[in-house]
Amino acid sequence: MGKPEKMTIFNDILATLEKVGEDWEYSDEITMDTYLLGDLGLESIDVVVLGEFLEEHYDQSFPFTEYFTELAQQEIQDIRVSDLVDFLDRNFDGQSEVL
Amino acid sequence: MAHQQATTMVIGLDGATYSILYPLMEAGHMPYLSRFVAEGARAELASTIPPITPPAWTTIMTGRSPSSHGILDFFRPESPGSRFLRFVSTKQLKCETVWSLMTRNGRSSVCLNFPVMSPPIPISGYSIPGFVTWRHLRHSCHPGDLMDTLKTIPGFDLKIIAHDFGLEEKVVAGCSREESEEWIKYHTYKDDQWVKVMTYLAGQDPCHLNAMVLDSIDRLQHVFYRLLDPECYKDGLSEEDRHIQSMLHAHYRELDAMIERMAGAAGPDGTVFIVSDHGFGPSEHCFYLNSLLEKRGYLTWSDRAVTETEGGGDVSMDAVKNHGHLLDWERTTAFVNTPSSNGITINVRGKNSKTGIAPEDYDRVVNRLRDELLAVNHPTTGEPVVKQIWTREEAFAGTDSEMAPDLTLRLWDNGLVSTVKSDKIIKARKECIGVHYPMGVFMARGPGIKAGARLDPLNILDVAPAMLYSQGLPIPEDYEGRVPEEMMTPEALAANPVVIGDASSQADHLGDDAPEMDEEDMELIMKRMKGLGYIS
Repeated sequence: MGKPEKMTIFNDILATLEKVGEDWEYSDEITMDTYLLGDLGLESIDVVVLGEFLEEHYDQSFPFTEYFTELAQQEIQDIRVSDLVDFLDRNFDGQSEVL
Repeated sequence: MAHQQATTMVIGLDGATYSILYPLMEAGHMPYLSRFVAEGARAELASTIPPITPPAWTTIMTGRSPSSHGILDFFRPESPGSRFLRFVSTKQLKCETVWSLMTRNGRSSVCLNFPVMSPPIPISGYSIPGFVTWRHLRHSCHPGDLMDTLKTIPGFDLKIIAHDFGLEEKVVAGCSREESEEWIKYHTYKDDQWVKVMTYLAGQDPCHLNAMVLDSIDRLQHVFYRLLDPECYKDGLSEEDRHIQSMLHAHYRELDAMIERMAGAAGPDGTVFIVSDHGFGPSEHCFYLNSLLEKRGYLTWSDRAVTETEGGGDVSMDAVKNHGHLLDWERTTAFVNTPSSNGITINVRGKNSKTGIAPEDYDRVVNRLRDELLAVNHPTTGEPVVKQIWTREEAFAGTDSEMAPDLTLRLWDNGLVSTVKSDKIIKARKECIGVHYPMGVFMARGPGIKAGARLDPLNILDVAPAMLYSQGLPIPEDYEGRVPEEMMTPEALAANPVVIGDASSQADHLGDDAPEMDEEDMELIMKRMKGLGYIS
């Protein structure tokens, strides 16, 4: 699978959220500006599991734990969907850049 | 799935230990368990090395040792060679579960709250995994619409059966006095909800093998062991402690009633096993092994590591996954990867690290470390801190897991080591806590099982053979334990001798359809690892 465009990654995230988020009690539209923890109410472990679905979809692993560790070090408490898109975009095969 | 074969019910009590159960039974808090013991056979049950939840329950559900089934810890590397960790999942499981084996033999199973059962494995029957947050519970269950079915149970609380990682931190952080009552009530309620699921499924669609883990005992004993083991409170308790203790006793009385309900669901001809994954005991001190390794020149902390001067040395699950940034990897040759491993990993240049010791120095370093560890004495008692050390080959022969430590330790108090940076190597805890001991419990009652029999200690590897034997199935020849034949009456054993059958299969995801890793894939992985700096 070649590296997808950012909008494709965004749509893949939306599709994954739709697939796994049936019970998540969040009915607003999810946009690039939606916060994963603050708006969707996820915990970091939930985002990692969400990431595992994306890993399965893209058939590659992404350094999610390392990413969250770096965020914590920088005292960043929450990320938007666009941050997740950027993270995935930066870490597709052949690249390795957590932040 | 209605069936003719008698039902087997396996009641898993995480962390159950006779040192607490016997006094509670004698005091009349667990009348059903007292009857169960009188009517059945019991033994101590030796756990895995180290005695922790994921490898131990996985051994119970596969009949194989951690080296074989591949689950050695709560964690796995985020990717090959990564210093960052994630929770283990069924994707790391190398062996077939008894639920899959039952399915191959045309039998159905229910498995509830077992760790390492997510993503779900398709079986004939039902599974709901443990250690999964409520947001991911729906798609972690089998069959996929199980949650919708469960929502129809009157009074059923879906969220409560999920794993709340934030709340569970109390296991390591402890409870304030104000939180203690809520912590106990939460677990009584949570266990009750799980039992509701089991009894509902048993009533609606009876399966052959039913197994469930209740984890309240582990969670409460970690925090309140000192109030449960009479040896710990023989010098008396404060009025406040007595109040908490009475609440704990009430919990065990409720739990006893729940066990009776589950055992009842097996029917009069059913076989019931009560097993724990490990035992429990008291711990009053904490051993900071990474700090010892620093003092001996094996480990260097990074600038991000903060020295703990107060506290119990315990770290949250979340912090364990992230410890990769706390060490200066260029200048570290030996380190503790996770507290739960109770082990030391050695960086070997070109093997698991681009820095570290030369491969030809491995045996020398292992021997030196072993000698140094055995010479560490407790500052208060003067006794050796490390009671036993296993090498990687001794504890995990044949495994290729990156999580297998090069040295695994058993401490003087059976406690787990701390990975955090500390100003002292051993510190007294603020309060005595409960830690995992190697000997858990095994109890069995049913047709042909001796009444009131007290057996010699069994091994946790013996539980899966016992389950399959109760179902009249052959025991796979590659199972590493045995059917505890001594629990059966001679007549029952003669009528139903143990039969050894074909070897078990691989884990479902490793089946014939699983893609083999070709040279191109391997090259790509090596390229990535080089890019990340883990291979020179």
